[in-house]
Amino acid sequence: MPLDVLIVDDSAAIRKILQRVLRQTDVPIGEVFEAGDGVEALNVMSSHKVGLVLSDINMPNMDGLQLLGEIKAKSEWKSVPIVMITTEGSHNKVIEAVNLGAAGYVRKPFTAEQIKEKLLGLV
Amino acid sequence: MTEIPAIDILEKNQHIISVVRDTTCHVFSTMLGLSVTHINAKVEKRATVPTEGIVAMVGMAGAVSGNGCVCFSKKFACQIASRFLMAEYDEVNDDVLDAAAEIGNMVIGGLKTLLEDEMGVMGLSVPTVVFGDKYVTRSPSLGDRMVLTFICEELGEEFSILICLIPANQNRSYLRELAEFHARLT
Repeated sequence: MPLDVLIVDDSAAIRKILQRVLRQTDVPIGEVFEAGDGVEALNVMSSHKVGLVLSDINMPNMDGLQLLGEIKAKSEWKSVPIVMITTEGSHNKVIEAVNLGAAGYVRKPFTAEQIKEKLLGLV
Repeated sequence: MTEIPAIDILEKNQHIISVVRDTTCHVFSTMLGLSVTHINAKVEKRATVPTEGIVAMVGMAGAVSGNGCVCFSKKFACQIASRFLMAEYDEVNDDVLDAAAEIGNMVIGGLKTLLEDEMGVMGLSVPTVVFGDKYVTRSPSLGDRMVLTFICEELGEEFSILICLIPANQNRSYLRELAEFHARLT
């Protein structure tokens, strides 16, 4: 069954790049939804069932760590794997993301191979 | 207050210069497949020459406060966006500005991550992009800024990175001086 994915990043450029990378993987991808911040992401998740979330951390309105906390706090969403893809590479942020339940962490700049490898490990 | 000579400022900030150089080269090679070379570093007392093109600006606050700007010509920004998004851009539009902002975010974000390990926790702002002709960018309360120039030989273009940082302990003394000054006035 194809995997529906939600990409959360305030940069439209990064959302486009991640869409392209997703389509290049061996994983069958269904619909790809986009959100510019955590608030938009929660709205998308309320109306669509997604099987994977790729999220930035540093975003306006609601950042990626708050979003991660919100998703993991809801019983119907808590099993959805969330990969953080971000410039925030500090040790503290990585630990915080892992403690909140992130399934993976990729630092920007990234290669397509790094993203593919991370997805194949999860799906 | 005694003025610190520009050469001493560069000497004192060699580590920051090398971090910015390495981060910039890494971002350009990983995301754009471009090799860039650092060709010059200087200290600018204040920006007097009007700039044109695109500036992607990212702020930092915490153990070190300040900002970093990545400055591109319009042509180079279009070339970068074309490589970044695998589409053709001849004119500056939202995609080009967004790509410039993201490159700025990665370069200054990389600098922040490496400095954070040594100096303490910092926050990063979301990037701001300025596009136009004959404008000047300044950070008056932060003092001198370092200007690092790079060249991308493959595309025959130069670009600059401006770094203006002040450690929290110096920032506190600046704020204390400001408070004392205000107290004297009142």
